[in-house]
Amino acid sequence: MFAGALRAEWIKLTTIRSHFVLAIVAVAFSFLVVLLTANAASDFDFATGEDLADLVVGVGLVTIMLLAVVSVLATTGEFTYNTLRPTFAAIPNRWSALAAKLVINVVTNMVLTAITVIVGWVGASAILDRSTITLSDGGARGQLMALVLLSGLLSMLGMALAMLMRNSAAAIAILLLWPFVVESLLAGFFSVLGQEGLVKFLPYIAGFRMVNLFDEGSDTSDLLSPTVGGIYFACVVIGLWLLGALSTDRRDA
Amino acid sequence: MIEVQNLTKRFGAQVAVDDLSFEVHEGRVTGFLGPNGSGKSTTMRCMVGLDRQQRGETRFDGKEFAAHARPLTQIGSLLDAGYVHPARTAHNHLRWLAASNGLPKARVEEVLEMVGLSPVAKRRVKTYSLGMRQRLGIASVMLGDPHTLILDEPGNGLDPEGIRWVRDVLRLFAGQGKTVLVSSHLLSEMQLMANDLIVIGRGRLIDQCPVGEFVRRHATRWVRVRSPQLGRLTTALQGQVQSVETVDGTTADLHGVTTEIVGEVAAAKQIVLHELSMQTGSLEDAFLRATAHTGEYAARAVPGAEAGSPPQDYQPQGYPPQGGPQGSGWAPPGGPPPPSQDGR
Repeated sequence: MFAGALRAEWIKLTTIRSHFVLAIVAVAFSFLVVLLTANAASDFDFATGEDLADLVVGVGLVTIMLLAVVSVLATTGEFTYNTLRPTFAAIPNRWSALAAKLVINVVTNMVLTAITVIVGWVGASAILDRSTITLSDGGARGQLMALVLLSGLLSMLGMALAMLMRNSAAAIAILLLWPFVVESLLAGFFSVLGQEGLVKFLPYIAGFRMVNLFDEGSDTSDLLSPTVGGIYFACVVIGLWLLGALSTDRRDA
Repeated sequence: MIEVQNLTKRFGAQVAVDDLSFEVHEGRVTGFLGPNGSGKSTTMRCMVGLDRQQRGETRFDGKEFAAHARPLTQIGSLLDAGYVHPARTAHNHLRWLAASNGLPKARVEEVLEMVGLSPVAKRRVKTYSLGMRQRLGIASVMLGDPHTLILDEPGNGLDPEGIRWVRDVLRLFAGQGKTVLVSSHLLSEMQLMANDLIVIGRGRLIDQCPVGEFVRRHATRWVRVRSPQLGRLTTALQGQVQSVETVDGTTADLHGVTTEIVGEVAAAKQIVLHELSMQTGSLEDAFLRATAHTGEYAARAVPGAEAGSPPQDYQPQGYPPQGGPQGSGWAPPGGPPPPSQDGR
Protein backbone atom coordinates (compact mmCIF):
# COMPACT_ATOMS: atom_id res chain seq x y z
CA MET A 1 0.00 0.00 0.00
CA PHE A 2 2.83 2.42 0.85
CA ALA A 3 4.47 1.67 -2.52
CA GLY A 4 1.21 2.68 -4.20
CA ALA A 5 1.09 5.86 -2.14
CA LEU A 6 4.65 6.69 -3.22
CA ARG A 7 3.79 6.14 -6.89
CA ALA A 8 0.69 8.31 -6.52
CA GLU A 9 2.66 11.13 -4.89
CA TRP A 10 5.34 10.96 -7.57
CA ILE A 11 2.70 11.31 -10.30
CA LYS A 12 1.09 14.19 -8.39
CA LEU A 13 4.40 16.05 -8.00
CA THR A 14 5.49 15.62 -11.59
CA THR A 15 2.21 16.38 -13.36
CA ILE A 16 1.89 20.04 -12.35
CA ARG A 17 3.70 22.38 -14.72
CA SER A 18 4.45 25.07 -12.11
CA HIS A 19 6.37 22.53 -10.02
CA PHE A 20 8.55 21.74 -13.02
CA VAL A 21 9.13 25.37 -13.94
CA LEU A 22 10.11 26.36 -10.41
CA ALA A 23 12.44 23.37 -10.02
CA ILE A 24 14.15 24.11 -13.35
CA VAL A 25 14.55 27.78 -12.40
CA ALA A 26 16.02 26.76 -9.03
CA VAL A 27 18.57 24.38 -10.54
CA ALA A 28 19.44 26.54 -13.55
CA PHE A 29 19.91 29.66 -11.41
CA SER A 30 22.52 27.98 -9.23
CA PHE A 31 24.29 26.34 -12.15
CA LEU A 32 24.53 29.58 -14.19
CA VAL A 33 25.65 31.79 -11.29
CA VAL A 34 28.36 29.32 -10.27
CA LEU A 35 29.66 29.00 -13.84
CA LEU A 36 29.54 32.76 -14.52
CA THR A 37 31.32 33.50 -11.25
CA ALA A 38 34.00 30.91 -12.00
CA ASN A 39 34.41 32.33 -15.49
CA ALA A 40 34.87 35.86 -14.14
CA ALA A 41 37.21 34.82 -11.33
CA SER A 42 40.75 36.22 -11.17
CA ASP A 43 43.84 34.19 -10.36
CA PHE A 44 43.49 35.08 -6.69
CA ASP A 45 39.94 33.80 -6.31
CA PHE A 46 39.05 30.18 -5.62
CA ALA A 47 42.51 28.99 -4.78
CA THR A 48 41.22 25.90 -3.01
CA GLY A 49 38.30 23.47 -3.02
CA GLU A 50 37.02 25.09 0.15
CA ASP A 51 36.67 28.43 -1.71
CA LEU A 52 34.70 26.81 -4.50
CA ALA A 53 32.52 24.91 -2.01
CA ASP A 54 31.63 28.23 -0.35
CA LEU A 55 30.49 29.56 -3.72
CA VAL A 56 28.46 26.45 -4.60
CA VAL A 57 26.86 26.36 -1.15
CA GLY A 58 26.17 30.13 -1.03
CA VAL A 59 24.37 30.09 -4.37
CA GLY A 60 22.87 26.69 -3.62
CA LEU A 61 21.02 28.13 -0.63
CA VAL A 62 18.81 30.04 -3.07
CA THR A 63 18.21 26.80 -4.97
CA ILE A 64 17.16 24.84 -1.92
CA MET A 65 14.85 27.63 -0.76
CA LEU A 66 13.12 27.62 -4.17
CA LEU A 67 12.89 23.81 -4.09
CA ALA A 68 11.31 24.07 -0.62
CA VAL A 69 8.73 26.42 -2.18
CA VAL A 70 7.85 23.58 -4.59
CA SER A 71 7.25 21.35 -1.56
CA VAL A 72 5.01 24.03 -0.05
CA LEU A 73 3.00 24.32 -3.28
CA ALA A 74 2.73 20.54 -3.64
CA THR A 75 1.19 20.40 -0.16
CA THR A 76 -0.96 23.52 -0.02
CA GLY A 77 -2.35 22.60 -3.45
CA GLU A 78 -3.97 19.60 -1.76
CA PHE A 79 -5.85 21.91 0.61
CA THR A 80 -6.58 24.67 -1.91
CA TYR A 81 -8.10 22.33 -4.49
CA ASN A 82 -9.44 19.79 -1.98
CA THR A 83 -7.43 16.97 -3.58
CA LEU A 84 -6.63 15.85 -0.05
CA ARG A 85 -10.14 14.35 0.00
CA PRO A 86 -9.71 11.95 -2.93
CA THR A 87 -6.23 11.24 -1.57
CA PHE A 88 -7.59 10.13 1.80
CA ALA A 89 -10.48 8.32 0.13
CA ALA A 90 -7.89 6.31 -1.81
CA ILE A 91 -5.42 5.97 1.08
CA PRO A 92 -7.47 6.00 4.32
CA ASN A 93 -4.36 5.79 6.50
CA ARG A 94 -3.59 9.51 6.53
CA TRP A 95 -0.15 9.09 8.09
CA SER A 96 0.77 6.75 5.26
CA ALA A 97 -0.38 9.26 2.62
CA LEU A 98 1.45 12.14 4.32
CA ALA A 99 4.61 10.07 4.80
CA ALA A 100 4.59 9.14 1.11
CA LYS A 101 4.31 12.82 0.17
CA LEU A 102 7.17 13.62 2.55
CA VAL A 103 9.46 10.93 1.14
CA ILE A 104 8.80 11.89 -2.49
CA ASN A 105 9.31 15.63 -1.92
CA VAL A 106 12.36 15.32 0.31
CA VAL A 107 14.11 12.75 -1.88
CA THR A 108 13.31 14.69 -5.08
CA ASN A 109 14.68 17.93 -3.61
CA MET A 110 17.80 16.20 -2.29
CA VAL A 111 18.47 14.57 -5.68
CA LEU A 112 17.96 17.88 -7.52
CA THR A 113 20.26 19.64 -5.04
CA ALA A 114 22.88 16.91 -5.44
CA ILE A 115 22.70 17.29 -9.23
CA THR A 116 23.03 21.07 -8.88
CA VAL A 117 26.03 20.71 -6.59
CA ILE A 118 27.79 18.09 -8.74
CA VAL A 119 27.20 19.88 -12.04
CA GLY A 120 28.18 23.27 -10.51
CA TRP A 121 31.34 21.87 -8.95
CA VAL A 122 32.43 19.92 -12.05
CA GLY A 123 31.63 22.83 -14.40
CA ALA A 124 33.35 25.45 -12.24
CA SER A 125 36.39 23.19 -11.73
CA ALA A 126 36.70 22.73 -15.47
CA ILE A 127 36.50 26.50 -16.10
CA LEU A 128 38.96 27.36 -13.31
CA ASP A 129 41.23 24.49 -14.41
CA ARG A 130 43.32 24.51 -11.23
CA SER A 131 44.91 21.41 -9.81
CA THR A 132 44.75 22.98 -6.35
CA ILE A 133 40.96 22.59 -6.21
CA THR A 134 39.97 19.19 -4.85
CA LEU A 135 37.00 17.86 -2.89
CA SER A 136 39.33 16.84 -0.10
CA ASP A 137 40.26 20.49 0.59
CA GLY A 138 39.23 21.39 4.14
CA GLY A 139 35.60 20.52 4.67
CA ALA A 140 34.54 20.95 1.01
CA ARG A 141 33.01 17.50 0.61
CA GLY A 142 31.22 17.67 3.95
CA GLN A 143 29.96 21.18 3.22
CA LEU A 144 28.47 20.11 -0.12
CA MET A 145 26.87 17.01 1.40
CA ALA A 146 25.44 19.15 4.20
CA LEU A 147 23.77 21.38 1.59
CA VAL A 148 22.00 18.30 0.16
CA LEU A 149 20.88 17.32 3.65
CA LEU A 150 19.74 20.88 4.41
CA SER A 151 17.70 20.82 1.20
CA GLY A 152 15.82 17.77 2.48
CA LEU A 153 15.16 19.45 5.81
CA LEU A 154 13.94 22.67 4.17
CA SER A 155 11.61 20.63 1.98
CA MET A 156 10.22 19.00 5.12
CA LEU A 157 9.91 22.39 6.80
CA GLY A 158 8.00 23.74 3.80
CA MET A 159 5.57 20.83 4.00
CA ALA A 160 5.18 21.29 7.75
CA LEU A 161 4.34 24.99 7.33
CA ALA A 162 1.98 24.11 4.47
CA MET A 163 0.08 21.63 6.64
CA LEU A 164 -0.15 24.09 9.51
CA MET A 165 -1.04 27.15 7.39
CA ARG A 166 -3.05 25.39 4.63
CA ASN A 167 -2.36 28.43 2.49
CA SER A 168 0.41 28.90 -0.10
CA ALA A 169 1.05 32.61 0.45
CA ALA A 170 1.23 32.30 4.24
CA ALA A 171 3.44 29.20 4.21
CA ILE A 172 5.85 30.62 1.59
CA ALA A 173 6.03 33.96 3.41
CA ILE A 174 6.97 32.27 6.67
CA LEU A 175 9.44 29.94 4.95
CA LEU A 176 11.29 32.82 3.28
CA LEU A 177 10.83 35.66 5.78
CA TRP A 178 11.68 33.58 8.82
CA PRO A 179 15.44 33.35 8.10
CA PHE A 180 15.93 36.74 6.47
CA VAL A 181 13.68 38.97 8.56
CA VAL A 182 12.28 37.28 11.66
CA GLU A 183 15.51 35.69 12.89
CA SER A 184 17.52 38.87 12.14
CA LEU A 185 15.06 40.90 14.18
CA LEU A 186 15.05 38.34 16.99
CA ALA A 187 18.86 38.19 17.01
CA GLY A 188 18.96 42.00 17.36
CA PHE A 189 16.32 41.86 20.06
CA PHE A 190 18.29 39.26 22.02
CA SER A 191 21.43 41.41 21.73
CA VAL A 192 19.60 44.43 23.09
CA LEU A 193 18.42 42.34 26.02
CA GLY A 194 21.95 41.06 26.55
CA GLN A 195 20.85 37.53 25.77
CA GLU A 196 23.22 36.80 22.86
CA GLY A 197 23.41 33.21 24.02
CA LEU A 198 19.88 32.63 22.72
CA VAL A 199 20.79 33.54 19.12
CA LYS A 200 22.36 30.14 18.49
CA PHE A 201 18.99 28.51 19.16
CA LEU A 202 17.20 30.35 16.37
CA PRO A 203 16.34 27.47 14.01
CA TYR A 204 17.62 28.81 10.69
CA ILE A 205 20.84 30.15 12.21
CA ALA A 206 21.41 26.72 13.72
CA GLY A 207 20.44 24.98 10.46
CA PHE A 208 22.69 27.14 8.28
CA ARG A 209 25.61 26.17 10.54
CA MET A 210 25.41 22.79 8.77
CA VAL A 211 26.98 24.37 5.70
CA ASN A 212 29.50 26.51 7.68
CA LEU A 213 27.84 29.65 6.38
CA PHE A 214 29.13 31.87 9.16
CA ASP A 215 32.69 30.57 9.38
CA GLU A 216 34.28 32.94 6.87
CA GLY A 217 35.79 35.81 8.78
CA SER A 218 33.22 35.81 11.57
CA ASP A 219 33.20 34.80 15.19
CA THR A 220 31.29 31.54 15.48
CA SER A 221 32.21 30.79 19.08
CA ASP A 222 28.70 31.71 20.28
CA LEU A 223 27.00 29.49 17.70
CA LEU A 224 26.32 25.77 17.73
CA SER A 225 28.78 23.53 15.92
CA PRO A 226 27.71 22.45 12.38
CA THR A 227 26.77 18.96 13.59
CA VAL A 228 24.88 20.08 16.69
CA GLY A 229 23.25 22.93 14.73
CA GLY A 230 22.11 20.47 12.07
CA ILE A 231 20.68 18.05 14.63
CA TYR A 232 18.92 20.91 16.43
CA PHE A 233 17.42 22.23 13.19
CA ALA A 234 16.36 18.70 12.17
CA CYS A 235 14.60 18.26 15.52
CA VAL A 236 12.71 21.55 15.06
CA VAL A 237 11.70 20.60 11.49
CA ILE A 238 10.64 17.06 12.42
CA GLY A 239 8.66 18.45 15.37
CA LEU A 240 6.84 20.94 13.13
CA TRP A 241 6.13 18.26 10.52
CA LEU A 242 4.69 15.94 13.17
CA LEU A 243 2.55 18.80 14.43
CA GLY A 244 1.30 19.51 10.91
CA ALA A 245 0.64 15.83 10.21
CA LEU A 246 -1.17 15.42 13.52
CA SER A 247 -3.34 18.44 12.73
CA THR A 248 -4.10 17.04 9.25
CA ASP A 249 -4.88 13.62 10.70
CA ARG A 250 -7.27 14.92 13.34
CA ARG A 251 -9.08 17.62 11.39
CA ASP A 252 -11.75 17.10 8.77
CA ALA A 253 -10.17 16.68 5.34
CA MET B 1 -24.12 -3.47 2.27
CA ILE B 2 -23.56 -0.23 4.15
CA GLU B 3 -24.50 0.05 7.83
CA VAL B 4 -24.44 3.50 9.42
CA GLN B 5 -24.91 3.42 13.18
CA ASN B 6 -25.51 6.36 15.52
CA LEU B 7 -23.47 8.76 13.42
CA THR B 8 -23.09 12.13 15.14
CA LYS B 9 -21.12 15.04 13.76
CA ARG B 10 -20.93 18.50 15.28
CA PHE B 11 -19.29 21.68 14.01
CA GLY B 12 -18.80 23.60 17.23
CA ALA B 13 -22.23 24.00 18.78
CA GLN B 14 -24.01 23.14 15.53
CA VAL B 15 -25.15 19.52 15.21
CA ALA B 16 -24.85 18.58 11.53
CA VAL B 17 -25.61 14.86 11.87
CA ASP B 18 -27.57 13.72 14.88
CA ASP B 19 -27.44 10.06 15.92
CA LEU B 20 -28.16 8.94 12.36
CA SER B 21 -28.57 5.24 11.60
CA PHE B 22 -29.59 3.58 8.35
CA GLU B 23 -28.75 0.69 6.05
CA VAL B 24 -28.09 0.61 2.33
CA HIS B 25 -28.72 -2.73 0.68
CA GLU B 26 -27.02 -4.53 -2.15
CA GLY B 27 -28.61 -4.70 -5.57
CA ARG B 28 -30.61 -1.51 -5.07
CA VAL B 29 -30.17 2.15 -5.83
CA THR B 30 -30.78 4.03 -2.60
CA GLY B 31 -31.57 7.71 -2.86
CA PHE B 32 -30.32 9.98 -0.08
CA LEU B 33 -32.60 12.99 0.25
CA GLY B 34 -32.85 15.99 2.50
CA PRO B 35 -33.25 19.76 2.27
CA ASN B 36 -30.22 22.02 1.94
CA GLY B 37 -28.15 21.89 5.11
CA SER B 38 -29.77 18.69 6.30
CA GLY B 39 -26.41 16.93 6.63
CA LYS B 40 -26.33 14.70 3.54
CA SER B 41 -22.85 15.68 2.35
CA THR B 42 -21.46 15.68 5.89
CA THR B 43 -22.88 12.20 6.43
CA MET B 44 -21.27 10.97 3.23
CA ARG B 45 -17.92 12.52 4.17
CA CYS B 46 -18.08 10.89 7.61
CA MET B 47 -18.94 7.55 6.02
CA VAL B 48 -15.69 7.49 4.03
CA GLY B 49 -13.57 8.90 6.85
CA LEU B 50 -13.01 12.38 5.44
CA ASP B 51 -14.84 14.13 8.28
CA ARG B 52 -14.17 12.98 11.81
CA GLN B 53 -17.45 12.22 13.56
CA GLN B 54 -17.87 12.58 17.32
CA ARG B 55 -19.77 9.31 17.58
CA GLY B 56 -20.95 6.34 15.56
CA GLU B 57 -19.51 4.22 12.79
CA THR B 58 -20.02 3.11 9.22
CA ARG B 59 -19.38 -0.41 8.02
CA PHE B 60 -19.00 -1.47 4.42
CA ASP B 61 -19.64 -5.20 4.09
CA GLY B 62 -18.89 -5.49 7.80
CA LYS B 63 -15.64 -3.51 7.79
CA GLU B 64 -14.90 0.13 8.51
CA PHE B 65 -13.72 2.20 5.55
CA ALA B 66 -10.16 2.49 6.86
CA ALA B 67 -9.90 -1.29 7.17
CA HIS B 68 -10.10 -1.78 3.40
CA ALA B 69 -6.55 -2.18 2.10
CA ARG B 70 -7.39 -0.99 -1.43
CA PRO B 71 -10.56 1.04 -0.89
CA LEU B 72 -11.01 2.08 -4.53
CA THR B 73 -11.64 -1.58 -5.38
CA GLN B 74 -14.32 -1.80 -2.68
CA ILE B 75 -15.88 1.65 -2.28
CA GLY B 76 -16.04 4.31 -4.97
CA SER B 77 -17.04 7.76 -3.76
CA LEU B 78 -17.80 10.93 -5.67
CA LEU B 79 -18.46 13.67 -3.15
CA ASP B 80 -17.64 16.68 -5.31
CA ALA B 81 -16.52 16.82 -8.92
CA GLY B 82 -14.35 19.80 -8.02
CA TYR B 83 -11.84 17.75 -6.01
CA VAL B 84 -9.30 17.86 -8.86
CA HIS B 85 -6.20 20.01 -9.30
CA PRO B 86 -7.15 22.31 -12.19
CA ALA B 87 -3.64 22.27 -13.64
CA ARG B 88 -3.56 18.48 -13.90
CA THR B 89 -4.97 16.59 -16.88
CA ALA B 90 -7.86 14.17 -16.44
CA HIS B 91 -5.57 11.34 -17.52
CA ASN B 92 -2.97 12.19 -14.89
CA HIS B 93 -5.63 12.66 -12.21
CA LEU B 94 -6.87 9.13 -12.82
CA ARG B 95 -3.28 7.84 -13.12
CA TRP B 96 -2.38 8.87 -9.58
CA LEU B 97 -5.62 7.51 -8.22
CA ALA B 98 -5.01 4.19 -9.98
CA ALA B 99 -1.41 4.05 -8.77
CA SER B 100 -2.45 4.64 -5.16
CA ASN B 101 -4.44 1.41 -5.17
CA GLY B 102 -2.22 -0.63 -7.46
CA LEU B 103 -4.63 -0.54 -10.40
CA PRO B 104 -3.26 -1.05 -13.94
CA LYS B 105 -2.78 1.97 -16.22
CA ALA B 106 -5.02 0.31 -18.81
CA ARG B 107 -7.94 0.76 -16.45
CA VAL B 108 -7.51 4.55 -16.73
CA GLU B 109 -8.02 4.38 -20.50
CA GLU B 110 -11.03 2.09 -20.01
CA VAL B 111 -12.91 4.39 -17.64
CA LEU B 112 -12.09 7.48 -19.71
CA GLU B 113 -13.61 5.67 -22.68
CA MET B 114 -16.65 4.70 -20.61
CA VAL B 115 -17.42 8.29 -19.60
CA GLY B 116 -16.64 9.68 -23.04
CA LEU B 117 -13.64 11.81 -22.02
CA SER B 118 -10.95 9.99 -24.03
CA PRO B 119 -10.64 12.73 -26.70
CA VAL B 120 -10.00 15.41 -24.04
CA ALA B 121 -8.16 13.29 -21.46
CA LYS B 122 -4.85 15.09 -22.03
CA ARG B 123 -6.39 18.54 -21.49
CA ARG B 124 -6.00 20.25 -18.15
CA VAL B 125 -9.08 20.04 -15.96
CA LYS B 126 -9.36 23.82 -15.65
CA THR B 127 -10.56 23.87 -19.28
CA TYR B 128 -13.41 21.45 -18.47
CA SER B 129 -17.05 22.35 -18.09
CA LEU B 130 -18.88 21.33 -14.91
CA GLY B 131 -20.44 18.44 -16.80
CA MET B 132 -17.03 17.19 -17.97
CA ARG B 133 -15.71 17.39 -14.41
CA GLN B 134 -18.71 15.41 -13.24
CA ARG B 135 -17.92 12.73 -15.83
CA LEU B 136 -14.32 12.69 -14.63
CA GLY B 137 -15.57 12.21 -11.08
CA ILE B 138 -17.71 9.30 -12.19
CA ALA B 139 -14.70 7.83 -14.01
CA SER B 140 -12.72 7.99 -10.75
CA VAL B 141 -15.54 6.15 -8.96
CA MET B 142 -15.54 3.41 -11.58
CA LEU B 143 -11.75 3.11 -11.63
CA GLY B 144 -11.49 0.24 -9.15
CA ASP B 145 -14.77 -1.42 -10.23
CA PRO B 146 -15.97 -1.16 -6.60
CA HIS B 147 -18.80 -3.10 -5.02
CA THR B 148 -20.16 -0.02 -3.25
CA LEU B 149 -20.74 3.41 -4.77
CA ILE B 150 -21.43 6.65 -2.92
CA LEU B 151 -22.28 9.64 -5.06
CA ASP B 152 -23.23 13.14 -3.93
CA GLU B 153 -25.27 14.94 -6.59
CA PRO B 154 -23.73 13.12 -9.57
CA GLY B 155 -26.16 14.79 -11.98
CA ASN B 156 -24.95 18.34 -11.18
CA GLY B 157 -23.95 20.14 -14.34
CA LEU B 158 -24.87 17.28 -16.65
CA ASP B 159 -27.12 17.76 -19.65
CA PRO B 160 -30.27 15.60 -19.98
CA GLU B 161 -28.36 12.96 -21.90
CA GLY B 162 -25.68 12.87 -19.20
CA ILE B 163 -28.28 12.62 -16.44
CA ARG B 164 -29.93 9.74 -18.22
CA TRP B 165 -26.54 8.09 -18.67
CA VAL B 166 -25.80 8.37 -14.92
CA ARG B 167 -29.21 6.91 -14.14
CA ASP B 168 -28.66 3.98 -16.52
CA VAL B 169 -25.16 3.34 -15.15
CA LEU B 170 -26.30 3.36 -11.52
CA ARG B 171 -29.26 1.08 -12.25
CA LEU B 172 -26.93 -1.23 -14.17
CA PHE B 173 -24.57 -1.34 -11.17
CA ALA B 174 -27.43 -2.11 -8.84
CA GLY B 175 -28.56 -4.81 -11.26
CA GLN B 176 -25.10 -6.35 -10.94
CA GLY B 177 -25.63 -6.63 -7.19
CA LYS B 178 -23.63 -3.55 -6.21
CA THR B 179 -24.63 -1.23 -3.38
CA VAL B 180 -25.44 2.28 -4.64
CA LEU B 181 -26.10 5.32 -2.42
CA VAL B 182 -26.81 8.51 -4.33
CA SER B 183 -27.96 11.94 -3.24
CA SER B 184 -29.72 14.30 -5.61
CA HIS B 185 -31.94 17.32 -5.60
CA LEU B 186 -33.55 16.16 -8.85
CA LEU B 187 -36.55 14.43 -7.33
CA SER B 188 -38.04 13.45 -10.67
CA GLU B 189 -34.73 11.80 -11.48
CA MET B 190 -34.65 10.09 -8.11
CA GLN B 191 -38.16 8.79 -8.72
CA LEU B 192 -36.93 7.15 -11.92
CA MET B 193 -33.64 5.90 -10.53
CA ALA B 194 -33.98 4.90 -6.89
CA ASN B 195 -35.47 1.75 -5.41
CA ASP B 196 -35.17 2.88 -1.80
CA LEU B 197 -35.00 6.25 -0.08
CA ILE B 198 -33.29 7.56 3.01
CA VAL B 199 -34.68 10.99 3.91
CA ILE B 200 -33.04 13.15 6.53
CA GLY B 201 -33.75 16.56 7.99
CA ARG B 202 -31.53 18.51 10.39
CA GLY B 203 -29.18 15.56 10.50
CA ARG B 204 -31.85 13.13 11.72
CA LEU B 205 -33.55 10.29 9.95
CA ILE B 206 -37.06 11.13 8.77
CA ASP B 207 -37.81 7.94 6.91
CA GLN B 208 -36.21 4.98 5.19
CA CYS B 209 -38.28 2.82 2.87
CA PRO B 210 -38.88 1.96 -0.80
CA VAL B 211 -39.78 4.96 -2.97
CA GLY B 212 -43.39 3.89 -3.53
CA GLU B 213 -43.90 3.37 0.17
CA PHE B 214 -42.44 6.80 0.95
CA VAL B 215 -44.84 8.46 -1.48
CA ARG B 216 -47.77 6.55 -0.03
CA ARG B 217 -46.80 7.55 3.50
CA HIS B 218 -46.14 11.23 2.94
CA ALA B 219 -47.75 12.50 -0.28
CA THR B 220 -51.19 14.06 -0.49
CA ARG B 221 -53.91 11.51 -1.32
CA TRP B 222 -57.34 12.26 -2.70
CA VAL B 223 -60.21 10.58 -4.47
CA ARG B 224 -60.91 11.39 -8.10
CA VAL B 225 -64.47 10.91 -9.16
CA ARG B 226 -66.05 11.29 -12.60
CA SER B 227 -69.77 11.20 -12.89
CA PRO B 228 -72.48 12.70 -15.18
CA GLN B 229 -74.33 13.48 -11.90
CA LEU B 230 -71.42 15.20 -10.17
CA GLY B 231 -73.58 17.88 -8.52
CA ARG B 232 -75.82 15.27 -6.84
CA LEU B 233 -72.82 13.29 -5.69
CA THR B 234 -70.99 16.22 -4.07
CA THR B 235 -74.22 17.29 -2.37
CA ALA B 236 -74.69 13.76 -1.03
CA LEU B 237 -71.12 13.71 0.29
CA GLN B 238 -71.43 16.98 2.21
CA GLY B 239 -70.18 16.53 5.75
CA GLN B 240 -68.03 13.55 4.78
CA VAL B 241 -65.52 15.40 2.56
CA GLN B 242 -62.90 17.95 3.67
CA SER B 243 -62.82 19.80 0.36
CA VAL B 244 -63.91 19.43 -3.24
CA GLU B 245 -61.88 20.64 -6.21
CA THR B 246 -63.84 20.63 -9.43
CA VAL B 247 -61.69 19.65 -12.39
CA ASP B 248 -64.37 20.02 -15.07
CA GLY B 249 -68.11 19.59 -15.39
CA THR B 250 -68.03 15.86 -14.67
CA THR B 251 -64.81 15.40 -12.68
CA ALA B 252 -63.81 16.42 -9.17
CA ASP B 253 -61.05 15.72 -6.66
CA LEU B 254 -62.32 14.93 -3.17
CA HIS B 255 -60.04 15.40 -0.17
CA GLY B 256 -60.46 13.80 3.24
CA VAL B 257 -62.57 10.89 2.11
CA THR B 258 -61.99 7.28 1.00
CA THR B 259 -63.04 5.54 -2.19
CA GLU B 260 -65.17 3.19 -0.08
CA ILE B 261 -67.28 6.01 1.35
CA VAL B 262 -67.71 7.68 -2.06
CA GLY B 263 -68.66 4.33 -3.65
CA GLU B 264 -71.17 3.49 -0.92
CA VAL B 265 -72.80 6.93 -1.05
CA ALA B 266 -73.01 6.77 -4.86
CA ALA B 267 -74.57 3.30 -4.69
CA ALA B 268 -77.06 4.38 -2.02
CA LYS B 269 -78.14 7.40 -4.10
CA GLN B 270 -78.03 5.41 -7.37
CA ILE B 271 -75.51 7.84 -8.89
CA VAL B 272 -73.66 6.62 -11.98
CA LEU B 273 -69.83 6.69 -11.65
CA HIS B 274 -67.49 6.66 -14.64
CA GLU B 275 -64.36 6.84 -12.49
CA LEU B 276 -63.56 6.34 -8.83
CA SER B 277 -59.88 6.17 -7.99
CA MET B 278 -57.41 7.02 -5.23
CA GLN B 279 -54.80 9.54 -6.42
CA THR B 280 -51.37 10.03 -4.85
CA GLY B 281 -49.02 13.01 -5.15
CA SER B 282 -45.54 12.82 -6.64
CA LEU B 283 -42.26 12.13 -4.86
CA GLU B 284 -41.68 15.88 -4.82
CA ASP B 285 -44.97 16.37 -3.02
CA ALA B 286 -44.11 13.62 -0.53
CA PHE B 287 -40.61 15.02 0.02
CA LEU B 288 -41.83 18.57 0.60
CA ARG B 289 -44.42 17.35 3.10
CA ALA B 290 -41.99 15.01 4.89
CA THR B 291 -39.34 17.69 5.25
CA ALA B 292 -41.70 20.64 5.68
CA HIS B 293 -40.39 21.71 9.06
CA THR B 294 -36.76 20.68 8.71
CA GLY B 295 -35.36 23.08 6.11
CA GLU B 296 -32.59 25.23 7.52
CA TYR B 297 -32.81 27.96 4.90
CA ALA B 298 -36.39 28.08 3.68
CA ALA B 299 -37.39 30.68 1.11
CA ARG B 300 -40.57 32.70 1.46
CA ALA B 301 -43.57 31.38 -0.37
CA VAL B 302 -44.17 32.68 -3.87
CA PRO B 303 -47.38 34.78 -3.78
CA GLY B 304 -50.28 32.95 -5.35
CA ALA B 305 -48.54 29.58 -5.28
CA GLU B 306 -49.55 28.40 -1.83
CA ALA B 307 -51.47 25.46 -3.28
CA GLY B 308 -48.32 23.38 -3.57
CA SER B 309 -47.05 24.09 -0.06
CA PRO B 310 -47.27 21.38 2.51
CA PRO B 311 -49.76 22.11 5.26
CA GLN B 312 -48.25 23.74 8.33
CA ASP B 313 -49.76 21.17 10.64
CA TYR B 314 -48.38 18.18 8.74
CA GLN B 315 -45.94 16.16 10.79
CA PRO B 316 -44.21 13.25 9.05
CA GLN B 317 -44.27 9.85 10.70
CA GLY B 318 -41.27 9.01 12.79
CA TYR B 319 -40.01 12.59 12.97
CA PRO B 320 -39.92 14.17 16.40
CA PRO B 321 -41.28 17.69 16.90
CA GLN B 322 -38.65 20.41 16.52
CA GLY B 323 -40.41 23.27 18.24
CA GLY B 324 -42.96 24.18 15.58
CA PRO B 325 -42.90 25.15 11.93
CA GLN B 326 -39.85 26.92 10.52
CA GLY B 327 -40.43 29.42 7.73
CA SER B 328 -43.18 29.07 5.22
CA GLY B 329 -41.56 26.68 2.78
CA TRP B 330 -41.36 27.06 -0.94
CA ALA B 331 -44.14 26.32 -3.33
CA PRO B 332 -43.72 25.91 -7.08
CA PRO B 333 -45.75 28.38 -9.14
CA GLY B 334 -48.73 26.89 -10.90
CA GLY B 335 -50.26 24.79 -8.16
CA PRO B 336 -49.64 21.21 -7.08
CA PRO B 337 -47.55 18.78 -9.11
CA PRO B 338 -49.34 16.40 -11.47
CA PRO B 339 -50.57 13.28 -9.72
CA SER B 340 -49.34 9.80 -10.39
CA GLN B 341 -51.03 6.53 -9.67
CA ASP B 342 -48.52 4.88 -7.37
CA GLY B 343 -45.76 7.32 -6.78
CA ARG B 344 -43.24 5.57 -9.07
